[in-house]
Amino acid sequence: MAAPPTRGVTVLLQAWSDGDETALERLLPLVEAELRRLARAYMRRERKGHTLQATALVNEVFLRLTDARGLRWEDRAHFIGISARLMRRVLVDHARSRDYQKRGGGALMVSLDDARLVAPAAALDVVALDEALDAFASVDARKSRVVELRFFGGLTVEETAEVLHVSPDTVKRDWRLAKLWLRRELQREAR
Amino acid sequence: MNPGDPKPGAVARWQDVERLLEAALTRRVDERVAFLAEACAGDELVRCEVESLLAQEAGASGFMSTPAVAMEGAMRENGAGWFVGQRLGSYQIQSLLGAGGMGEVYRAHDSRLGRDVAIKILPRSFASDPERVTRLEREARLLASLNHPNIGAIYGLENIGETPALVLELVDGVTLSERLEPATRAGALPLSVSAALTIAKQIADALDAAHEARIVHRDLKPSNIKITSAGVVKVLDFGLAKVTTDEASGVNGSYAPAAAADGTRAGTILGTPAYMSPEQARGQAVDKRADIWAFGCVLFEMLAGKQAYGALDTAADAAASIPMREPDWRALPPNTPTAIRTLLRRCLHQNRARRLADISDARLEIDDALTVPPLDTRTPPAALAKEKRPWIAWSGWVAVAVTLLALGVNFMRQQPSAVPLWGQFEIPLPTTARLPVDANFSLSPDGAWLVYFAVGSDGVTRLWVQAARDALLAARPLPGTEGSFGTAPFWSPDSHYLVFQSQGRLKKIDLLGSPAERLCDVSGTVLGGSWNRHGVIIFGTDTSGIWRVSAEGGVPTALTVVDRARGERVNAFPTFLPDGRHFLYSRISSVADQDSAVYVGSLDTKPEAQAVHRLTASLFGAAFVPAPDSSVGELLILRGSTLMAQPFDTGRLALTGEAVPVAEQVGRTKGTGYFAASSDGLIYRRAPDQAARLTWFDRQGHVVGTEGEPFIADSGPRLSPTGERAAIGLFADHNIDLWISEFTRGLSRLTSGPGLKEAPVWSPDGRDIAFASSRTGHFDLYKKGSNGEGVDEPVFASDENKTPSSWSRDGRFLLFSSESAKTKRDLWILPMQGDAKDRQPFAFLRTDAVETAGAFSPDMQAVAYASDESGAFEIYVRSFTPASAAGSAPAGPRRLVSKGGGIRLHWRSDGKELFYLALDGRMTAVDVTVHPVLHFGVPRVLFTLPVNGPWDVDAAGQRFLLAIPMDPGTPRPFTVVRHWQEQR
Repeated sequence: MAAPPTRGVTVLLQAWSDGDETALERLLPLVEAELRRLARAYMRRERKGHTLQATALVNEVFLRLTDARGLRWEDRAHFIGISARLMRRVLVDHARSRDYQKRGGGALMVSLDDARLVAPAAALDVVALDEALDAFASVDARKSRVVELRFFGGLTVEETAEVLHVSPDTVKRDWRLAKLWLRRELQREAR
Repeated sequence: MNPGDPKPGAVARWQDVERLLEAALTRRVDERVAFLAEACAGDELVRCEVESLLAQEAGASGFMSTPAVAMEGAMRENGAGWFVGQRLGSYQIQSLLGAGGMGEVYRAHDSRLGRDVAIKILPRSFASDPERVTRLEREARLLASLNHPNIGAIYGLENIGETPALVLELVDGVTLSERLEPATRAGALPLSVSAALTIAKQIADALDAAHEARIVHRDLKPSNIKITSAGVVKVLDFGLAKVTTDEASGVNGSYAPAAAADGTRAGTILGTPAYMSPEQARGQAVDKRADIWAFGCVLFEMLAGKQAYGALDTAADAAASIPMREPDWRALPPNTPTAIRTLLRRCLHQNRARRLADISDARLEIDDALTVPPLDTRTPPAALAKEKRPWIAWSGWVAVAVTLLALGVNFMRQQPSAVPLWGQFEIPLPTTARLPVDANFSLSPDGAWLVYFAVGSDGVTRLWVQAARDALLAARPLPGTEGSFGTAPFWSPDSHYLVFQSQGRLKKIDLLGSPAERLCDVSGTVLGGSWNRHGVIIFGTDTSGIWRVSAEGGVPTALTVVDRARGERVNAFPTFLPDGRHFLYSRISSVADQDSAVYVGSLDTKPEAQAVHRLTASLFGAAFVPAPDSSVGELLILRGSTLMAQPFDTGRLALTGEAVPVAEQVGRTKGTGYFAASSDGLIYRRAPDQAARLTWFDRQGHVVGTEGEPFIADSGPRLSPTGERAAIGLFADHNIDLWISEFTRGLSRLTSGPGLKEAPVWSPDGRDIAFASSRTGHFDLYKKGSNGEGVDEPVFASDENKTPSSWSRDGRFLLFSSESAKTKRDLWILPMQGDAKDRQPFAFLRTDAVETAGAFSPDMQAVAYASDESGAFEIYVRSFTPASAAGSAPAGPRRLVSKGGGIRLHWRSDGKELFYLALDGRMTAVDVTVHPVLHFGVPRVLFTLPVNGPWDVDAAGQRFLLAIPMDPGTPRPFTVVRHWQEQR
């Protein structure tokens, strides 16, 4: 496999931190590709009884993609922030492809009659949550972002606070209220 | 609510809600209602909002407690879809199509071959289970031994990582269960009887192929049957299929009872209960009759809209309940043909010894039922209206019935009033698209698909693909073919790719739908093409002959040169012969129909040397249909509007037998006939109504009268010397014969028997007619009494094709043209009087140019004729001296009469005027004076002929007679003749 483009990512990240919004457009695909690859590897390795550490995943991507020596510490926060958004996209895509099959849509190739072997219904509809989160962002952007970082990015309260430049208490309060709002939204949708 | 679309004020209100919510959360649950009642101060909307959020508190602790990535990972542990987004070898996995215990099927893109495929991989939990792996590999081998258009194909078995994976044909469309479900749930009949039978027939075809290969599917059911958007049925999922062993195969078609060898766990009953035969449900060994049972279940369900044996959950249910039950036969629609009801009972017989033993019997029954459709109450009457068949069809019907009776096929049980359409049906043109008049169609080599250019309702021309074996499935446009044009696209030998012209380029496109790829630039319009097994594409153009290019694209090189000096207009419509080196193609003459012919070309021959191997005259190209087990296939050629088939030996590259008609009233366009064929199906479009009527025009081109009833003309009228009768060529008894129109008194037959007849020429006394007939394999000259009595008397036979054109007024000489490989077409004169031994023809004019359409002047002093000696056809006159006729130089010096080209000429009976047709169809007159010297005036245009056909002029030169088609236009559907080779 070709070496990850560490140099380019570092430069782009710095440029973006310095306010160059176009740098982000070029940065995202690079990070996303690496995230997708690593996420799959992580999920494959995952076994029952183990909790997957999304932060570890993001960290690994960060280390692989950037030349840490050339980065300021706040660049890392930026990086984790965008990584969480990308993770959200990766995970929702995966969930969508799975749901697509679950709903029997599209070109169904094999019989689903012995679907007993297929996984039981997910505890949480990630695709629906993604949509609810979009709606929530227009009501309360920061709380929506907290959910993105924690749930999709797998960040701790402290890491989330660091990325958002708020106190850990604020993150906790946001998280608690956001859960109520989103859960209600999902129940509404389910009905 | 619509996410992302907050109502005005929503954000401000949310701040109130949030503040109250936080405050309420700090309170005990039992205090919250009172707190809110007070705090909301009558704002009921805010209070309701906060309360609904507070109500979530109880269940919120576990909500989103597991990070998404861990959750997805855990789902993947059990679930399918693991590989989505991954790249496995050259396959980019795009999405999960389906999953079950037998495997997960993904849609993937094969970047190497640039096509989409389906990949079947074992579920991860079974990836290391040797039994599962063996079963998957077995499925691959089974599928590889089955190559059938109605069975999903396998492309390969590959090891991906540590597990094997099947790379399969991606079949887009709906499963039969999806197709049936909505109507079934609504209690309605899901399909018309004919639609159900059309699907059933394809399922039976697939099973027949599998059974031929000694493979039993064992899990046939609606969810394993897909119907593509183009209407082709594909039987999928041979995951449970089983192959017989050699020892068992001889024993009444049953299979070895020991199941271990096939990878099926002993004692395990596999299959789907609702479609499971009693013996399968009991865990007994199964044979192909289990598939026949399942086929019966599926057919019943398609017709009745309910399962034959209801929903059965387990094999034990099936074993216990089926013997006690009968399908609800009353649920079958009332118009279900009796034969199909009987078939269902035979398929669903509990005792397999008494069950239908061979699925091909079901195919025959369905074929019969489909070709003599019952009155289908749900089919619009228009679709049922039968075309009025010409009487020709009746005679064909009788011949077919006789053949079938001879074969012992019980065939006459159909109502005698049924329209005789054995093995024949029509595929309607799309209702949402218009076929350009000059657009032809082509048939895929596997016989499954029709393709043609059509203009959609958006006004854009695309290729449209339509199932060739199913009249009920709609055509669909092929995306990526916008702006295509030409006569007809052509196919790759595997029927996967289409080649077409678009925007000055030749392109190929995958039928399954990846973007079109450019092959090369072309100038002009592509006229036909062909693609051989070695990746060579050849194509014709309307500007520059036949070209060759690699199927991978590149710079084309010329294969033929258009010989304009010989009056050739185009070289076109090449078709590879089975060796992939030789090909058939047309050299089309711009003026004389009889000079257009099919040639055999070779990839190994220089362009200048290609015009050597002339096969047969044909104005509309030829199609070759190879025979599976023989070097002798069939050449299809359109003669007039009769499609003829003639054996063609691909080893000797020669026609070997006699041409026989296979279809009548076949239409044509721009040098090609509306026909195509594969070994199992012949498809043609009838011409717009071929019936024509003899019509008189005056010198201004006005219609001044018609004569007699309409008829299907082949060659136009030749007026008798008195002008009271006309000889015409028309279709009768699968042949072209000469008839005499007595005008108001009707038609009487002049000739019959083998061979085509053409070019009638009246004797000056009107008693005899000379003509050409091909009964010996080439056109010889005959004569017969014009009253139809007596036999056809041969007057001159030779190895060349000959066409008579004029009989001298003294009755002594017949002028004819004769083909010659060296000097092309020449004018000869045959003495018609005296002893037979004296009647040896002599050449009147023999040059390297084409001379044709010779006509004696009434005073017999001159002969007018058409020749291409200048490069284009012009009318010339040369003096003729009967006294020196047998001498060395009967023809005098030539005089050019026409101006700007001319063909098809006649003298006025007094010799004072000569008429000819200009190349653009304008009737042109030239004054002729004899004294003091022979002189020709300046050509004068009289009018333009409405159709470019043979014509004649009355004695006075005032009225012109032509056969004019009655109906110039309605587009005709495709007529499909199944198993056409067996029908003759």
